Amino acid sequence: MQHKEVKKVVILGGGTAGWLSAGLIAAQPHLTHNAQITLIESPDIATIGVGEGTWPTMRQTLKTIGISESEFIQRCDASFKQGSRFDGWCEDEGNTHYYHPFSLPVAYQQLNIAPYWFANKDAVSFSHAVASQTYLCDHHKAPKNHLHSAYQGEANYGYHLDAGKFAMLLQQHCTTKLNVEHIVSHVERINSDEDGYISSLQTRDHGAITGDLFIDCSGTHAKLLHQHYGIELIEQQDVLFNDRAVAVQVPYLNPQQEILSYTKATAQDAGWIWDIGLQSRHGLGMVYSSRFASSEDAKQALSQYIAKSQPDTNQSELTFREISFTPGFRRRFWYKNCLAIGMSAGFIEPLEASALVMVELGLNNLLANFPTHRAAMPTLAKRFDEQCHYRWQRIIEFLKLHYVLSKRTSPYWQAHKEANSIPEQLQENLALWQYQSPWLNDFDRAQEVFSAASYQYVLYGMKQLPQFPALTMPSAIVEHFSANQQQAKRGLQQLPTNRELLNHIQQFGIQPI
Amino acid sequence: MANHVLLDNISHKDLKVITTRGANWGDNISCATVFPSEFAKVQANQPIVFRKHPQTGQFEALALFGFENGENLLLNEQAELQLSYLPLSMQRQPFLIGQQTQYNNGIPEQSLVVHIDLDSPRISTRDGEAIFLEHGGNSDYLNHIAQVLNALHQEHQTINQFFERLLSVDLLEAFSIEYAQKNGEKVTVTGFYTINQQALNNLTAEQLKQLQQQGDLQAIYMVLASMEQIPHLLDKKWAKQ
Repeated sequence: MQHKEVKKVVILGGGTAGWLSAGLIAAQPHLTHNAQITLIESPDIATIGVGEGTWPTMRQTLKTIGISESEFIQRCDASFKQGSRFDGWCEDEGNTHYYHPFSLPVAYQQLNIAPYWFANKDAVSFSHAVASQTYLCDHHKAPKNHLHSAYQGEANYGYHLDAGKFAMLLQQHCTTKLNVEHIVSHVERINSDEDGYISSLQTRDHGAITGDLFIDCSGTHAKLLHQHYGIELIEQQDVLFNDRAVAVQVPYLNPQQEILSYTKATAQDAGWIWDIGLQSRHGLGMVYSSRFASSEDAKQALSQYIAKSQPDTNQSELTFREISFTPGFRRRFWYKNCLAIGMSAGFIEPLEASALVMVELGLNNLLANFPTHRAAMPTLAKRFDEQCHYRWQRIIEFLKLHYVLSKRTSPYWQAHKEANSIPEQLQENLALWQYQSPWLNDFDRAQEVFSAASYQYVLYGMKQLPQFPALTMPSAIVEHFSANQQQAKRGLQQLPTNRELLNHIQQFGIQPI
Repeated sequence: MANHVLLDNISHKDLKVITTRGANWGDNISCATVFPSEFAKVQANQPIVFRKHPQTGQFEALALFGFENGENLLLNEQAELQLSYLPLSMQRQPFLIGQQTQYNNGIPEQSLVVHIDLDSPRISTRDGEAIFLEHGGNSDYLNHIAQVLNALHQEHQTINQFFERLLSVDLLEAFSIEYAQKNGEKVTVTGFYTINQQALNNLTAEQLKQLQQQGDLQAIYMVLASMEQIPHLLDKKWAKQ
């Protein structure tokens, strides 16, 4: 075989996925044998800028790329995210809500504490009983204080961010510090070699850009994997109905307004509304199913939400942006010498903010087994595909879980409960969890996207309790619960609010150690 | 509590400042802020440690006198403090730098002015150094204070960059001080940072040269040398129990 070593990686697409790919690959030359990185971005295509919520994994990602937390927070309008809150998902009436915090339940490494909470379920919600972070969320507290080092905190956290600003920061960092070549030009043709591997991308202004490995970050078009290789989407709207969104940015009326510590997801008749608090504004959007609502209905619901949450907003000044998508993921994620990262790989509704974390997981996967030679690609591609499929399926099941337990009565919510819309494995698990609580054996891969803890938070948040007699509590268990309450108390006393800490970081920054 | 006012030669014409150091005059403190230009003089007698400023979270350097709040192990039996070198941040007491906005043809300009803490135990009308001369001119003492305040102002302008340079080559590391009390109780004092000696040894020639040109290299070695003072300070604590 002639020279087929992987010396040059070409990334197509200049959105968050493209620049995160460039950053993570370029920052770890030891994993790629110093592969050279080029990113090609079309000047004609606007990036969609989704994914304003990250997982805690983003801390390690930024650290690896070499971006300081201060700079990230100062430049991306970023705030701290400690989980999600689901308002009105259980039933039509009442103002019930539950949390899915980022922190694991107390004593999670030792034992499953959930069964012991059942006896207490009327006194305290599951997430409050087992995760002190829930109290921090109640009070808009930050997960850390100004003396903590960068990327470290008292409670587990990720971020909310302005995706456009984030892509800009990554671009600047990659091109000035990590030696990433940046080409702004439209790709007109894809050139292949005799084996069907991509040999170069023909650009309008810079000729053919050759490469050994191509990463398709071109968004839902999937210019390489779909348009060139014809790899289709496995559509998922039979399971997750949402295929439209209308998004809007709403500036705070009071610049010192408290900032939400969580993504707030409020159920609507034909979808739900996300509410994300950045430093300067809310990022809001209604995600819905076109089968059950029109874009006018969605806009109206969103408009009502704004009128209720920030009544003096002048809505005539707001720009409502409509987004249409087909929920699903690719049949293959890595074909020949081309792999998809980001929306080219798949896209589903932003519930549980899986978009950016899938980018990170995909890249970490690629880098852990980087193909230094073309001969390694078929095997690695097979494994990569298998891993991606597993993850997408688990994500889809977990998102579906949020809907199937609801007592909401509108046709949209009723349709979600129809058995043929529920993946088989989720049905099996739901049957099992009537008798026992989700635990480690239910999800046994080393790198699960959602752990048993996540399932517990949603199941018990939705008041789906198993049928077994409440366990009496040994004193060790009582201690775990009370340690959690103590920790909450300390946190509430000692931690600043999100707003206070973000103001502080704007002024003084935060130390790297 | 502090009562900071702008110093002027009318309201404060009769005030004097007690420059004797000791617990009676507020020197029952466990540390004092010091700056890199002072490290050489401080290191012979006190440990120099770094910590994050409790309010700003930014790094600062301290000369350590004790291990608990208000504990100054260097006070003698008469509760006096006799240091061979007194850090600028102590020399300035009870004066502070203030900022004043003055209008020059309607354009605001910030200027530095001298403030005084009227509640400081050092303020007296009887003992100590006169601030002003009889007819309102500055005393030599006040001129000295003005120099001290100026020097401190300069140091404050550059101290963050000093730490940023150290951090950029990963030269800082956290450490804690552990000691046993006479009753056997073990105490750990955390929140300190110092120079990571191994990281220092691993610097490239180019990195070392840059530190040397910035004048940081000497400061770095002074901090390392000053660590020898920690056991001496602990001996004093042991002796006082």
